[in-house]
Amino acid sequence: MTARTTRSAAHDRRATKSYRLRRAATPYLFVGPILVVFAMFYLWPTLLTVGSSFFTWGILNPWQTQSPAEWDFVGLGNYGETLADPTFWNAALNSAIWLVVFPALVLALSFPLAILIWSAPRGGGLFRTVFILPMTISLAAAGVVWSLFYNPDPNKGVLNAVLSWFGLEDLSFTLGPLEFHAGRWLSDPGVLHLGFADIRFVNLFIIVAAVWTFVGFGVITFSAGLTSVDAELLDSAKVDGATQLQLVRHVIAPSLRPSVIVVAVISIIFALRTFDIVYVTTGGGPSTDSEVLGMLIWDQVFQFLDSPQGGLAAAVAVVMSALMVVVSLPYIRATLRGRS
Amino acid sequence: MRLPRNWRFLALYVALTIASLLWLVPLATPMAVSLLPLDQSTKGWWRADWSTVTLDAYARAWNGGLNAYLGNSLVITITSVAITVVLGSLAAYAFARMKFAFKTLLFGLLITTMIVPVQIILIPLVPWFQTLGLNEGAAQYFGIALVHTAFGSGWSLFMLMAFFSGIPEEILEAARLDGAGEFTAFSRIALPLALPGIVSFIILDFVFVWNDLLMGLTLLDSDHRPVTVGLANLNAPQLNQDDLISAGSMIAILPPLILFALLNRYYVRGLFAGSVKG
Amino acid sequence: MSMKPFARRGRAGAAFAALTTVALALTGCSAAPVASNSDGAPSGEIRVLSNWSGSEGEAFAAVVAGFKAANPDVVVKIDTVPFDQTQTTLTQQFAAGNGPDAAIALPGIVRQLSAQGLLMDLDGLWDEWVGAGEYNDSLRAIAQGAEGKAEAIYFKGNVNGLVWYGTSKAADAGLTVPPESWSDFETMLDSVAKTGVAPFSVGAQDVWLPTQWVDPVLLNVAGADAFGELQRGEISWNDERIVEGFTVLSGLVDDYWPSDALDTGFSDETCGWATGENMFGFNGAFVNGIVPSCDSALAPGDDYGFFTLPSYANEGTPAQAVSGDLFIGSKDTKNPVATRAFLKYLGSVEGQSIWAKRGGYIAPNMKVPSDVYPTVNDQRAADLWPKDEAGVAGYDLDDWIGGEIQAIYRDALVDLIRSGDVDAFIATMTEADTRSGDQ
Repeated sequence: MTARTTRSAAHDRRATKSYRLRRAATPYLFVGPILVVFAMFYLWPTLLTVGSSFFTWGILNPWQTQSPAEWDFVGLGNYGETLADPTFWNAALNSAIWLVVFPALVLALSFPLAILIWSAPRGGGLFRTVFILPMTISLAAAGVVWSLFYNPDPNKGVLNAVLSWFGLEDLSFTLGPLEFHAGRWLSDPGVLHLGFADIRFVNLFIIVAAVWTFVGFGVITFSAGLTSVDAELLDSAKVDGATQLQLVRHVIAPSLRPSVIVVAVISIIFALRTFDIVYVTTGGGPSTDSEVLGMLIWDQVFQFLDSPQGGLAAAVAVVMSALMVVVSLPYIRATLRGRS
Repeated sequence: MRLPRNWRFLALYVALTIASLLWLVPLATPMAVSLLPLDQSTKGWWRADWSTVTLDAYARAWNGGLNAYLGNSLVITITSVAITVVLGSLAAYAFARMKFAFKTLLFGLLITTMIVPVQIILIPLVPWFQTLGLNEGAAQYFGIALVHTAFGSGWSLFMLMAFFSGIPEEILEAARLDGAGEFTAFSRIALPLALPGIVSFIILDFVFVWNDLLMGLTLLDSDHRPVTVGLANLNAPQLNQDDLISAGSMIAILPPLILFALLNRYYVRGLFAGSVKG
Repeated sequence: MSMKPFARRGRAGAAFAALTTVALALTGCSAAPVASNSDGAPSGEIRVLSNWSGSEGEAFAAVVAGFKAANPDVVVKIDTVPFDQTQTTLTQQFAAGNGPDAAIALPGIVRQLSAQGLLMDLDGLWDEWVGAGEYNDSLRAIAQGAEGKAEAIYFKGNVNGLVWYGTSKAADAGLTVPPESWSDFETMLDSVAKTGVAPFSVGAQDVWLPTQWVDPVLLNVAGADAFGELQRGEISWNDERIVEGFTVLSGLVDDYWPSDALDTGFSDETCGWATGENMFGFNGAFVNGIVPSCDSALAPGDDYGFFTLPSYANEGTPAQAVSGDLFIGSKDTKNPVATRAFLKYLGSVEGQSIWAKRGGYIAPNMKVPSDVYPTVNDQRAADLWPKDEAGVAGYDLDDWIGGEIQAIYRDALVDLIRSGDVDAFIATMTEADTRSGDQ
């Protein structure tokens, strides 16, 4: 296997010290460029964010590196203020709603759709295309599309138009802690009053719009996973007289477990990161009903200028990131083990 | 080809067809409203007089700035994808096939870009760009492209590594025996073999960068803003310009959609690859 | 596709080059250099941020065209953002060092940007204007920055607090319009309420609408001085004049508002009194142009008109509630000469007359003649604008204060409407607004 027995020019060349040095340096030459970009445009700004979270500053008057005397150090003050701030907890609650509902809806829709498509002997690709299509649309465009769909005027919004055919477009009721108002999907569709918090339904309707763009990813992931379902197992189960439902539960679902995990984790990350679609549909409103953590940071940096809140925004960003890294840690570790 | 006779298959196809049609319903409104004059759509575009179809809203959206925004999106996206592909393939090859110190640590760091929210870097980026001189003129394209590359370095590594690890070591070893340096082995042998996967990656990255809103909103001035930000600016519900914003959204949707339609296979394959390895 | 890898790469490379060329052509590679004045006349390029699109956008474009006709060497680039994104857009642009040269701004934003030292000092311009009788001190106070210097110009005015009604409907009901005193006003409202229909059509679902009720009532009951002091943070909300004002307001809401006011949108409100069951609407002058959309046969003046609130204390004419849009100039603009000329034009008789002729606009410049206005209602509304140095205008309270206090105020106002609890409202606002220092 080695070239030791055959002396060649190539071997001589490879024996020189400069060659060995170059060889050792090669991996770093390969990864170097991207690491430089990574360091300059990700690592350094991250350190700046973390560092600046210990100071009070505003985006219109950020720190001047040459005059550190003017820096306003507050230590953990920003973190304390954030954790005591009801606005923060409101945004955290809305993000929590996203965290739970978004992955659930994505899984609930893409799993059966993928199975249906996979079961179709012909033309499955065509159907899959339909569900992947919204993935190519930016969340900004999706927000616009769904804003039009949710338009409260039954002459403009398709949803309310359909409901008005059944006379339901003004449906409004209160059932104990639950309030519901049909028709005003993006302004005041309803609230669920739990004693310690109010769950605002406007979040749910924005989530639906986001799910619409994301189901394609679930469908593809499950479709890929379905290709690895053991065909023999499937056939023998069918021969044994298993029903469709039993097939799904006992043969298909277990082999799709890795795919479910992938979709779940990516959905969770997506849900916590969300900004674009909230910005375009409601801007966090009405008042702060649909404000998620991503929007809160934006507002703190650019909207609330009465006091400099750059440090608070940085603190929220750090908290968010820490949370997300912790949540995805098991998944990262598994990936790292599988790769290195 | 025989039509499936089993009623179960019929039910399946009916279900899929209904689901697909329902899935496309939200797109019906912007499509219709963008093609109709405004007074036709105020009483329900489904009741409109279809002889009044016009491209006027598209013309207004186009001339109202969307043409420049499309150009901006194109420059930003192409620049970013090009940089990401070049730097990413080099790095992915190294991670997939070479051993070097700190490999796990670096990999872990790069993977964090897939998890943390963009906001973790966005806020200090505004003054940092000013320091670097990337906040003015055409340098802004370069700046935001580099941020996209940096922030996408995790998942680009993740995806591209999959394609490079599939190459049999013997071919590369043979090349090395013939005197090829590592870079030559990479560019002449590995790259062409991984090319279909790289094309898939390019398409996915293109769509991802094209569709970005937050970075464009934060880092770019009005002359250089991408089409996503331009669209968000049109969206003022109190003004009665549904036709304009419908046309704008259709224009914004079109490029990645066309790319997807033309290169469907690669797009899907790219997503497959990303998921199967998980 | 069975092309050799190299051939494919070559094709891809060519496609890449072609795409980039197209893209750069679309954007135009280099921005036009900004030349500053060479011979004193304004020249070069300025960037202006505005909110207006649609027909208002066209009106603004006409004003800009007028400026360009007078200053042919200046190129004006207009950038439009939606109204509620103005503040974040301005902040982001100034933070990135890419601020516009001139921009639309509400007084709240003016003061926030001014506090960061970003605005052009326009005291000299205002001295000229006040001296020439084109503006007065009351209007100047509206455009002031954080330290009392004038740092904006007043471009588009709006007159608020007009009680609108249909002329024939009022005549049929035997109402004496306009009422001569506050008690006559209440008697009239009571007689209408007795018919079972709420006298006012109110679309309070839109957050800004209830705030437009507050300003004229507060100016009337509490007086222009107390209003101004509250606005500037010199007194707190528990001042007895302010409390009285809100008590009167709450009484009007309880007695004369329809029960579904908070669920009705503004777009339904206008038609509610123009063609519907209610008698009155309480809005600004801009409604004049909206009424025909309810019924295109309605003619301003003949079929519908307005009156202003009679004085609560029976003393003279209450100060006029106004709102509208200001324009600021950036202190670090690369083209100060052209920017200053632009702002001056926007505040001038000539510039403002261009839009005034089109309707839906009241010129803040006192010397704009009333015959430029297209309809009799526009002229009458314009006549309510301060016309001499004694005229007093009170700018929209929460738009002037802005920021977080405005957000809290709007929510608290909705609570006040729902509950009628004035004390709770005053308590919330006193706690939220700490500018005056005395709690």
